[in-house]
Amino acid sequence: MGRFWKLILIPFVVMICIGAFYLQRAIANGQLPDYDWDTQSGDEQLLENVTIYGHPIDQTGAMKITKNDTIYQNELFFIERMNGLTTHPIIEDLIEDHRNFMRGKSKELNHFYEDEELLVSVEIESNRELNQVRETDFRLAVEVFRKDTKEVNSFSVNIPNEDAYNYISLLDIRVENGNLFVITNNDTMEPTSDHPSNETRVYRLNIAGEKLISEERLLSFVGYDNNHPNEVASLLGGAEEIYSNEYMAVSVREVNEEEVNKLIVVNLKTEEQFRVDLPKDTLSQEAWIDKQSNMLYFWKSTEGGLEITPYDLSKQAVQNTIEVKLPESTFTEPRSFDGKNPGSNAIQEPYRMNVIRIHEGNAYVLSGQNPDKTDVYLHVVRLSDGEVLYKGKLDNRQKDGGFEIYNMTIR
Amino acid sequence: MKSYLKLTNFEIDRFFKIYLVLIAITVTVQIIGTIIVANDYMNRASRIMNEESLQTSAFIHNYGYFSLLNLMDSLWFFGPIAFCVAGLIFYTFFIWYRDWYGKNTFIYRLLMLPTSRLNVFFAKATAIFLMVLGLIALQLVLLYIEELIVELIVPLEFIQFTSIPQIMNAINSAYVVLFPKTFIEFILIYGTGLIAVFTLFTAILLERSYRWKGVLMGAGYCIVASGIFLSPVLISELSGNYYLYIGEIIILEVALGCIIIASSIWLSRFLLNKKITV
Repeated sequence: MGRFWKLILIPFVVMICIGAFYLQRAIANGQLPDYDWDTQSGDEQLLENVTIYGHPIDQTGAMKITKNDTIYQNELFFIERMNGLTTHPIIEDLIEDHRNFMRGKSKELNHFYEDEELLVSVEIESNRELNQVRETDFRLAVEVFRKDTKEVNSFSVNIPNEDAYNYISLLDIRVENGNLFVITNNDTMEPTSDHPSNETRVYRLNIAGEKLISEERLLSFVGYDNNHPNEVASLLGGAEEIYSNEYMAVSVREVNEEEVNKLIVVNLKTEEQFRVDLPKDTLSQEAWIDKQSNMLYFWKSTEGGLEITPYDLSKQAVQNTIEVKLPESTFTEPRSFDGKNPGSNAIQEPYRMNVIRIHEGNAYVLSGQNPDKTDVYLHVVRLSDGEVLYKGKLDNRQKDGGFEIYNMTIR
Repeated sequence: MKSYLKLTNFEIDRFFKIYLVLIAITVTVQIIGTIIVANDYMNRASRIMNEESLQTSAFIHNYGYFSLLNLMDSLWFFGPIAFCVAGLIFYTFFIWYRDWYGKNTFIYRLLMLPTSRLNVFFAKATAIFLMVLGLIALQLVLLYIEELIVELIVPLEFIQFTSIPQIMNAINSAYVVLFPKTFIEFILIYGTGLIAVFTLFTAILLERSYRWKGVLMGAGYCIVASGIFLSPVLISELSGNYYLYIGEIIILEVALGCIIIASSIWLSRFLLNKKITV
């Protein structure tokens, strides 16, 4: 036996060291703090759909907090960890319910549409020649899952006049009366020109006939030249659902400018468009479009909390502002350590972080401070009358804990 | 079984002196490195804090915390690991060729032993694999020792992560391969290493069996094996069609890995029994 001591010693040491190492890691990850909502008023049911994303201050990796659970990326089984924590819960649900349909598909909400009968996905396919920047041969690849027959139909249509486009990105899709509307942003910049321009187009496809019926330009933006300002357009957010919305809103501002010049709303049903007639400082506020109530909400932080300005798209009229009172912020200007010169020694003080989501006529307002261990508050406000339906907080002062928030989704 | 264990012990024995040298180099260089890197940081901290009259928190804000990650980014830490990796890769070849080119063609005696020739193959693979794992275990122990040294030199308020699990969670570089985040990943990653060892051994035996023609055959075998093993990932990446979910790719990889190991063993057995020339 003495002759074999090396053969016994090495595996023994290996097992002890590696075993202890992973045991310690598992124990340490199991001790990461759990965060629970401390409800101060209102209906806890509203928390069911809320997921908060952030990262722990003393740890690396992401984390997310749901009503009943705190999940750390580092404690996940590695397949889940590789998938990351950022997949939207609606997409996660789709993958769980329609695993085969969702294979190889994008994880962006705007690629999907769902109602009682259909689940539709659209991808923009294209080819790129080796050693070329330009994409060619653009196609809309459509897959339709019929919920009653469980049948999947796929078809693809070529985008007409595709030579004119450099790049096409998908903005949104919607289905109405058996027709699929695909809204895209087409980049028409010539590779040799200094005049980038792009246009927003809508492609109307017949689902049963599997063909393109019509296409139209909704908006176009001409890039910089002597006669035109260098404008950029961005689609207004709010795509927390994958069912139809009647309106689409695009804000237009000059490159490198904060101020929004105009806000153009397109009615996708009638394809009419109009400009929202509000002062520029209101237009420049952050804004969400609510697909259910066809309202536009502008919001800005105030000293006492938050001011929300609703705008009714069907009436094209602004409504009374809603004030949301938020817990006092300790927000201060940057200061320096020696109190004198705020030069290189200055450090950024914690800043107030507000994350707002609109869901089923309610505004979910998450507020807290980054990067500081202060409590994180959630207010759910009914937008029709400003009533606070829920108020609660996450205790973020735990020893060995604390996290920074950066996003929230409402399922 | 007994002859397999005897052969494995024999193979470890033959490499043990060099192995101890690798261990000694790793321990010495890393510990000296820890002391130097930690002292450098503290020297810099005290110089800058005095010159710019900064408090601890301001210094940390501007120049960063200290953690074992600082050490891991330095050649003091990485150098010995690279040296050991190179040493073991070299030994993967040397473990066979020394038997042909060493004093009195030793492979002749090995192949004449009254036991399955495949045991020689398994013993050599086991020896390599155990020594790899041994070095990993050593490195893990060393991490704890280095953390202790760091805490002796650097005051706690300058240290970002004070426990090894925290440091391991923070790792986001090639070290993830060396220290996988979970035990299952450890098995998958080092299992892949085992596949590589078996594939290389088969290539070496092809060369030993067919000489110059065998070099091409061995290289071809390695290319085919890696092609098959990587095919699920390659097909997805090249076609841009990510049809399989990550979990399915892992299962497929495990299955392909088993197939490659089995075919390597089968081919090596054939070569050792029928084709090998001394």
